[in-house]
Amino acid sequence: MFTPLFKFNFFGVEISYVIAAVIGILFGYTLERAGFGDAKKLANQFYFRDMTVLKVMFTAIVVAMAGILLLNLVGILDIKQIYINPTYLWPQIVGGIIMGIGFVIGGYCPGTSLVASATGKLDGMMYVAGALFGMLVFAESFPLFQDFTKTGFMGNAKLTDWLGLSPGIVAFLVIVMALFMFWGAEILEKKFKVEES
Amino acid sequence: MDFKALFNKRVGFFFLIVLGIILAISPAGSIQQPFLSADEMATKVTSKSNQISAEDVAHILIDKQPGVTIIDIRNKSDYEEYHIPTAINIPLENLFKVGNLDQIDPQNTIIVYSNGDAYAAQAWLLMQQQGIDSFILTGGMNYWASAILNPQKPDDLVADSEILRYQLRQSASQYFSPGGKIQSTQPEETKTETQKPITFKKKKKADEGC
Repeated sequence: MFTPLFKFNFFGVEISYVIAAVIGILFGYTLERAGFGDAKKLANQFYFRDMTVLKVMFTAIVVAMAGILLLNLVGILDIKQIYINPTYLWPQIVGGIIMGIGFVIGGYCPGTSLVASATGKLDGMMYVAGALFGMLVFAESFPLFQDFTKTGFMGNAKLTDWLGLSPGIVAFLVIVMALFMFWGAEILEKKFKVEES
Repeated sequence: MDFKALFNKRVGFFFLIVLGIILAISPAGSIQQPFLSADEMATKVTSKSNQISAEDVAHILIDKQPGVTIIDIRNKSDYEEYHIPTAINIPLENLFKVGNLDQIDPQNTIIVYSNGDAYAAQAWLLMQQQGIDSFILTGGMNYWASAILNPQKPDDLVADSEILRYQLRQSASQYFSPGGKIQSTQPEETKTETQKPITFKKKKKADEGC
């Protein structure tokens, strides 16, 4: 096993920034080409007219999951070395709700607002400005929330530990769930389709 | 050949199900290296990626970050005289006695320290052999005492970063020992609630992700 490359000292911090920048540019370009830089397309998600976001999210989950597991299976990737964002259950639920409300109101999520700004969309820029302002307010009032941000700590929570199943079985269940989501999304799209005028 | 047929939904559906079944019956995701090879350990030692600075540990404690276990591997009398707050005492000779390491959540970040570096480094090596990952507190208790508990003002002609480090140490020092001296009693009890919360601008070592 010799990956993640960074953890096995194939390159230093400086090179990792360069690699991150290249991947980031490709990611942003792909998002924009997929139509994610357009608030109208993103907002249609919430009217069940265009479920592209949901499909892309589940495709990304399945591709990344299968890729990680297959690389591990052939002995290339050491899964233990991958950084997992620790779970703080309650603050993450609250944060998710706030972010969802912001998504419905503003028509972007933080990442897609940057994509929209990059193509010069004014609503995207306003969204970024609002997000930065929100960060400032949060940072300045952080002592008020500090204790709350540490609640519900679950460590590196994983589905495999929670369900007590092997990673392969969990992967199979996630794939089944993704297929169900794809199928359901298409049904919703057909049902709520708006006739083009 | 009609390639379009390869991209229709039914083919995709079938492909994903097959992929899922292959993953489900394979040991994918459970394959891991039980031990670091000698070469990998040598790389970790020389790159010092198995070390954590006293400033970072102070940050973890002041921030009350969960998921961190600090092990004091010195003997009991040293531990009772002074130890880093929240640290548990498992003397090196008892470290691998049955039950002692089992009480630690395996997901936790483990930090070991002794008076200097040597014993902690050896404990790190032994733990690696057992498949337990840990970090060594750089400089051990000696450095902690001089840097965090009794920080010395640096000379005038030093880099700005060194002055920042001094300020960090000084504020941490107020947190850990309000009198500026090593406390002989349990320091947890002497933590004064009236102290202003000290906030660190420095990012912790393990910060990753989006």
